[in-house]
Amino acid sequence: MIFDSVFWKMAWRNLRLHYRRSLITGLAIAFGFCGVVLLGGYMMRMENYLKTQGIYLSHSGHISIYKKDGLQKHLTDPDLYSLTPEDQQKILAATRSLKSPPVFVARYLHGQGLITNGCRSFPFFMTASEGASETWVRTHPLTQFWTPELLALKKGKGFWENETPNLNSPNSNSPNSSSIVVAYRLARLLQKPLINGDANEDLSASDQIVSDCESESALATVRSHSGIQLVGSTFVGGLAAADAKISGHYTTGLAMSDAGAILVPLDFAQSFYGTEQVTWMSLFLGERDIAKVVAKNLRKIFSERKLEFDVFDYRDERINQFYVGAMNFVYVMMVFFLVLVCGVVALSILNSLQISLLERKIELGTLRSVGFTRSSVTSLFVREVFLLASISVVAGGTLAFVIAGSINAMNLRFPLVGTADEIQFLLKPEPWLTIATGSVFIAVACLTCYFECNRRLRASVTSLLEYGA
Amino acid sequence: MYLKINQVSKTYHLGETTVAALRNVNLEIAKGEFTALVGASGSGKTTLLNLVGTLDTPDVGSIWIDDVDVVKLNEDQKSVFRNRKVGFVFQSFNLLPVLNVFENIELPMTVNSDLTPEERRDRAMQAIKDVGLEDFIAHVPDRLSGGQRQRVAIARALATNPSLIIADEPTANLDSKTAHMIIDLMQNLNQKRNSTFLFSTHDEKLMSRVSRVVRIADGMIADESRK
Repeated sequence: MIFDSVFWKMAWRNLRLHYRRSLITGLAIAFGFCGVVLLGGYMMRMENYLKTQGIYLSHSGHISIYKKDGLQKHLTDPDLYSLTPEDQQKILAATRSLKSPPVFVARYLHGQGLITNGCRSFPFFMTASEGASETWVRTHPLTQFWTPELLALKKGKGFWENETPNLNSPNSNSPNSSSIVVAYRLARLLQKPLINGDANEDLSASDQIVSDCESESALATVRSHSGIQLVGSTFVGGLAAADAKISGHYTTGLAMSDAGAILVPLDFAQSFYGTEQVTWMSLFLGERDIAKVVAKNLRKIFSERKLEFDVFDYRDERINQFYVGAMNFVYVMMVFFLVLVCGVVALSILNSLQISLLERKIELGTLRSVGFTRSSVTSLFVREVFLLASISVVAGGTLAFVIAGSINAMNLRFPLVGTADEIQFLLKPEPWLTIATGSVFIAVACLTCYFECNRRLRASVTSLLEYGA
Repeated sequence: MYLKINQVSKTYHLGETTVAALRNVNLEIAKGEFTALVGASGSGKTTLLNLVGTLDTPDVGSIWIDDVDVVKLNEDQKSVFRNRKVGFVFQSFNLLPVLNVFENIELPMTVNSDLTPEERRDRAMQAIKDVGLEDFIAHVPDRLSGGQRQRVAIARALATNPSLIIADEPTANLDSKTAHMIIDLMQNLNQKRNSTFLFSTHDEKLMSRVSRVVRIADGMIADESRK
């Protein structure tokens, strides 16, 4: 009976017979679905933006490996809680024995201290990376697609530019290691609008000592060159100090870190802190969905080899706090709206069915009297709703993709809460998510019909056959 | 005996009012009989037809059709029983407006998994020929006259080859000429197929056309006559 064409014919003809009601119900489903798909498209945009920012531009990789307890203690006791060259070799050896080895491995050093322009000092949070790995990250197709806003420096050049990544030797040093990149808000605090090599830069001014920072000329002197000084503590507790030139202004992508972040070459940072160690190593995988499994396998390998390292995947809130927090909120919102819209769809179907079942009461009685069971009569109505919901979902989905394409073409920009800059208002509905949501819509519509028809058909056949009752 | 009704009573509760629709009804009908149930409105004709057709259940008593106590069947079994053994003809025809003549007649057979599509088609075509609607096979009910619609309804009832055909006032919505044609048709089919016909009417002219008349009054069998 399921595949009997006469029942599908009946369903289709009944929809056409009551075309106004079918149209109104169909539009309710289509617009509801369109809204959910667009919301899903926005969610995918946010997720991919934040995920790409977290994995690539915040350098956490799909998996990050720290010395045991290093994540919590690397800033207070860096010598003990950072990865030595031997540790790094052991980690590389372990990654080679993975079933799904990483496509790229990068080393990073995290440090802190004070950055000064000669008059005023500010705390900095340094991320040091190798030029080759920075280039690899910034030319990756995912960063190019999802976070183009964050790739381009606000001003100047990065120390990684004009380098070709060497995947076999990611430890290659940057040729210009005293050039650093500072977050653009920190540059503003430091009164450093110029970058190294700027035509307006007064090179002699960087050698001058500003004796009276309150004088009118002091600010002009500070602003006239790109030189800064860094002060901190070496890994073993000594004084660390260095001069450096600002080669560019960048954004981390996150508002909370753009007022203190600096990005420097790894060899410069190691020299500054007097160490050969790094804080963590990041593994970049071919596909991000396997991160959790790879992290688990890696922990197992470390455990078997009695190596004391902490392994985190990118979904760990200790690593990507903003991403995890923001996405949890977005997921809750998405589920809330999905439930809300599904509720509206169910009510629309219910409303339409109430009228339809009342109008077609005699038809129900007739079908029952000629031998249709309750379930076979119900299946006739479910077919109608299935057809209507399917057509509406296809129409709503198509409309959503058209709207998304139009909005994307407009290049609208907006400030995403928590991010440092405006990003493009992109709607990227995923086909698989659209199909899954559409299936949920159709299922909700059919189930609503199923339960309501079953309820109505509990009435006796004689009462169904009564006119006007 | 093909149909045997034993001590059947049925009471309806309408709010606080209780209506005894049938009281201790006993009736036996032989295979192939052409029987008319007559009586005034509210006498219990339709209630009796509904009970015999398994559309409703008596409060007490038993109804045997072809050696099956239909009162004891559950809902799904009753549906299957109706589909295989009983054909219904309604006063208002009760055709589905979205189906054409052929599809309306084929419809009850679509839930009979014992029939192949070819058998369904053959039976439907035979029923259409029997009622003389070959030229209207693709017409939807809206494009048919009242008499033609009732003929479709009769064909639908006959197509499943039921042993019992129940018709509730089949001529009530028809003019007298058409009503007589419908009765003629039913009688012909009764003789041709040897199906048992039980129908209700309050048209006195029609009573002379049937072999057996059962009079019902106040929910009881008042009398009966045979020709």
